[in-house]
Amino acid sequence: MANLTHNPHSPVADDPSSQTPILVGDGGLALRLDETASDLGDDGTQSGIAARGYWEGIWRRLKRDKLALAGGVFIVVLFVVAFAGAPLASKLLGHGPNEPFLVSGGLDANQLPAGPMTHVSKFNTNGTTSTQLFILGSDSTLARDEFLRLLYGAQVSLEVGVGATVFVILLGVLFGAIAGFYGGWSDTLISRAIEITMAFPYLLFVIALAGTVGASLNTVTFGFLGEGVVTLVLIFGLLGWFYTARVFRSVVLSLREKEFVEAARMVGASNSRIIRSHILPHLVGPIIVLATLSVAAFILAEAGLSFLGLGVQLPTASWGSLLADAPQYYTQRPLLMVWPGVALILTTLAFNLLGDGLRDAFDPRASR
Amino acid sequence: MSTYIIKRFLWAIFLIVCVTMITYVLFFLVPADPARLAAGKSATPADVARVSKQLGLDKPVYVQYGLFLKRLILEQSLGRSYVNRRTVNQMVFEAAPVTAGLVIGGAILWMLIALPVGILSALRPRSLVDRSAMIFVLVGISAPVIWVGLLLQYFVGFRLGWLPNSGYCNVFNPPVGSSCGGPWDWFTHMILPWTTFAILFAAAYARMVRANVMDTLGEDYVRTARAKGAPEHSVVRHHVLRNALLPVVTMLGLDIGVALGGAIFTEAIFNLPGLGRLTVTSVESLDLPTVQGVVVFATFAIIIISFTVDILYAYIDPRIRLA
Amino acid sequence: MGVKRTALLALAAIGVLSLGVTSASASATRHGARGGTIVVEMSSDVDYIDPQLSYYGETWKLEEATACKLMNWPDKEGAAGGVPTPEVANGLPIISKDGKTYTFTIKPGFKFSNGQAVTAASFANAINRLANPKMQSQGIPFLDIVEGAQAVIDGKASSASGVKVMGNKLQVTLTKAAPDFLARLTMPFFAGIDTTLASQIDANGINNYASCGPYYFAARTPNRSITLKRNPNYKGGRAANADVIQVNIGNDTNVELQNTLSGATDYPSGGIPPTEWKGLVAQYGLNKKDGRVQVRPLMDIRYLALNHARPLFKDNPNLAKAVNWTVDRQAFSAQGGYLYGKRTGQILPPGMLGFQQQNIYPIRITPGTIQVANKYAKGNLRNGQAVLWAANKGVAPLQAQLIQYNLKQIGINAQIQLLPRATQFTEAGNPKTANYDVTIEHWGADYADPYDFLNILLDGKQVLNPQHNNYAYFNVAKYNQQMLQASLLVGNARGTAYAGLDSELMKNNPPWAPLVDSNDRTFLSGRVACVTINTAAQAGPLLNVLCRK
Repeated sequence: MANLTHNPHSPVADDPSSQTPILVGDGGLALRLDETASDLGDDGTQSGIAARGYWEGIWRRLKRDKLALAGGVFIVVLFVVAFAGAPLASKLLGHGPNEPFLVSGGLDANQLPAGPMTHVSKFNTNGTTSTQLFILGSDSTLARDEFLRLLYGAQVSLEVGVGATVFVILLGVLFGAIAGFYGGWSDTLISRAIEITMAFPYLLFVIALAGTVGASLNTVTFGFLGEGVVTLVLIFGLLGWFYTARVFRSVVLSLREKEFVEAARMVGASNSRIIRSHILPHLVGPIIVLATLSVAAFILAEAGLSFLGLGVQLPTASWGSLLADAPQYYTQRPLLMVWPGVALILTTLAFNLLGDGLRDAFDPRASR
Repeated sequence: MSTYIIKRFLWAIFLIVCVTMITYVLFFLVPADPARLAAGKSATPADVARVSKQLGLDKPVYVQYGLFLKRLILEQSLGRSYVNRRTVNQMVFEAAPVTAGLVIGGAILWMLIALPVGILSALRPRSLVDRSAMIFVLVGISAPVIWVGLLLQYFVGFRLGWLPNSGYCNVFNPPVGSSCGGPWDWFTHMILPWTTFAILFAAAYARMVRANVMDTLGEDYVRTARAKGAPEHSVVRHHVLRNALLPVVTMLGLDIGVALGGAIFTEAIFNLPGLGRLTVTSVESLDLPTVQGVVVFATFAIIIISFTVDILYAYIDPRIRLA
Repeated sequence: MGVKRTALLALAAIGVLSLGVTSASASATRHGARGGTIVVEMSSDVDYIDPQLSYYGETWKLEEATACKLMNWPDKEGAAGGVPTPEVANGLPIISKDGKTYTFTIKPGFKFSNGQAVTAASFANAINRLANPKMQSQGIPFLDIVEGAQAVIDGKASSASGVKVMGNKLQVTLTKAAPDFLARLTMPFFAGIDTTLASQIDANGINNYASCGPYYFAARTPNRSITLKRNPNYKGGRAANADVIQVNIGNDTNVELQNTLSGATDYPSGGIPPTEWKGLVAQYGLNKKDGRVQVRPLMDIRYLALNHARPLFKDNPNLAKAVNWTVDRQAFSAQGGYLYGKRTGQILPPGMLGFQQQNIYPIRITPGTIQVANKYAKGNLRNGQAVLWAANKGVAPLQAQLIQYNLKQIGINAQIQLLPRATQFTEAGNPKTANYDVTIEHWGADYADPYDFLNILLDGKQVLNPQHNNYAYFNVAKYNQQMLQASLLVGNARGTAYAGLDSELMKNNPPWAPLVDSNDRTFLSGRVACVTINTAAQAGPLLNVLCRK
């Protein structure tokens, strides 16, 4: 573990702790901020005109990065498709993602999951028969709609990804800001806590926790989340906050030394006012960048856990569980491996592109 | 320097104590009744009581924790598996070299990819090389390890048959009756796992190397060297690479511990009897002592590696010690 | 007492009759091409290979090739293979008038792989080692009928007083007459052990010991491999075709299939992906002589145990009937793939005494069946919530989701909890931890008698025991009485009584929703022949008989 009390102004290239380590997502991902956002390039936020210019500048730089924009558009579309499109599709198609269509069509003559564009039938509770369309065919020998499961799986992936990210960002800002700003024993305490959490092998511990203690939390849903989402969010969050805390701590540390903070102090501003009006606004940049990259990492981590059978509760679909069930059919229905794999790649790619673009946009000195 | 070493050492010890306490508490809060699991299918209450006594499970939690620590420190023992009564030490020490081989070999492979890709694309920004490298990077960090592994296993291992589709071969002392052994077999069986494991990190490190090299290229001392008329390759070799790569090498030391995560999926797919697969199978069968033992061992390993890296780095860079 | 003795004699008579059959064909056991190595794959490690400790089907497959026992399953197919037959015992034992004392005479000529001779002491030592509390064996409960064993288990004696070695005879005295004693002796717990192993008491299991069967364990690397080699001193008459049986551990079903297709593996004991069976049957044919695909019916039952101790199913026979009407047995079977088993709506399996085809519940879902199910469910849903237990590996999670859907169709919201298989039935059998309303269970008959199904699984007297097999917690005095009475009958009367009980239970007060009587399916490489499958011994081809082409 690198020494956390280094001088934040030492050159980036020589300082390992400003090159924060890989956050483990699917076994380790480059969520590396190669530079801390300690130099945001601008002075404070005193004049309204300068503040608008700051955000306009960022937006202009972002617009130039076509790939980042594409990523952003994809993400927006994904959210719409997952949360609005899925229920809509379900309504249009006439069935949900967890309903087996085992009467006819769902499984072909060899009892294999049906291929794309198949009409399938099931019996309804009132005794009638429904015949509907499976756009991508069946997901498994349970003959459920692969297309709808893909869409609803997006919901789960996004819920876990965003939920865990919110958790680690909140905790990270809280502890990082306190440690960085107040210093002293609170810094020591929090830094030690960070080092303790960092010592655990992240994914190993997540798996161990999910498999043993996790089951007891699976029924908590707050009414709208999938079952098991809360368990994953908690586990990912409680073990992952150290990473964001470290980043925010060094940002705050460097901000603390800046002139505008000194000036505010001289004017007599209280600590809480300084934090609120001067420090937090400058954290927005790093928060946004870190958040986008974290979502990608957590989505992959959830897929990995579902692959091991430790993710969300049955019968909820998630991209990871779709990927887990697919290999047994890969000689006969290889497409079943393709859909969730491609979905994961595109989503992670989009978040990574957006995150990279945002980081470059927030730091005008970023070398391209 | 020695005060620094002592300080880090004491801290490492403290971390180890914390870690064992936290894992012990967490895993033994699980609702399953360990004594019943250990006693087996047809256990009567007398059987369960007998086993409970033997395992010491009838004592209060803090006493059990004390016994656990005593056994850990005095006997260096992590306990026994519920499923087959082997010592956890044995299982962990058998599994560790497999994972070490995977991680170290994978690290070498990913550096062999990341370094040239990162350096070349930094030296020629926006060129075709740079753009393709960045595409590789982005796909590499976005593709799920499982997907890559399964595809490689099916196509290269089974369909094409170029490489073994699964299994592990000991370099030394292959088990009696095993169908393979020795360095060449070990190597061919590890190629697909190494590739699966390394792709993710190769992409991440390529990106980092590229960023570092580009930063260093912009530094004053590089401009000075160029101004003095040094040939480009000399500038790159003597000034840029050394400074750009030092942090990368340090990150390696820290990330190896973290790389255990990716190893888990690779081991599961290719049936490598390492720590990752051991974690997965013991979690699936609720074999608590083994789960705990693997986590504790892996944490020890990370702490020791970090401690070593810290000391080495302090040795190299005096500023760190004085901070 | 008198009736039980009659039953005993009847069983003994069956044994004698088949003795005539089997001893004639013992020498006709297939001896194919001798030599070569057979490669077997298992997807997870065995628990122990120590005979007094191992309690796992996969290990018992291997021990079927290495152990020699007083009574054993003959290396034959079909019904003949299901009768406990004297192996090291020279003929059936002499049983005392009260049915409590068995005297076996040891056949000379059996030797361990280290050269030691097999004697009566070899079996006495096995019993005493099994009872030794320091071994902590899970097989201890099977000694409950051996006199003096309890004293050993409690640490008060070093050998069971009821087990006596008299020259070449072994005398075992029971605490009460037990019709299944001879069947119990076929378990590897009671296999003969040499004097070295008898003195090695280690709860962690001994991995290196001499065996008296056709093979012995030559090597074991936990989690990696096990190697069996032919016992050079074996002259017992059973086949020992391959030189070496090599067991590789750890691959999942996909890889095991790949290896069997390519010929790297001969017998994937861990199984293959369920959807592959149809294609394989189409390609290689079914049950051809030494064919690659072999399927045999098993005498077992896969069922939903409905927990009558919890509010949902307590005194709620109509809801139990509704469950029987709503479960989609066809889809349940489809999860396991082609030829998974025979759908059933009753307790006893075909082939067992007392089986009569009853068509009480549908084995195919129609709009009509759904309506009937809802009719029975109406008003009986109680709180409409259920906890559904299933194993966490294999097809069980898929089957659980199917049952969840079926329960939803009658208005019950089921929450699935997945558990390791061992944990699932251990906790289900303990009243204190049986926190489920429905659990997906699987029971294989130990021997071909309806007692082993109805009484063992549904007798209500056991539900208060700390560990039992009545996962339905079904305890109705009237039926307990009927089960007891049926168990005392013999012959046709026995069959009729059990058939009536089966039908009455399922019609009026179903304790379960029976689903499928499974098949034992085996896929082999193209390199092996001499395929003999004895479903009583264990699933899969007998490894000592399997030979290289």
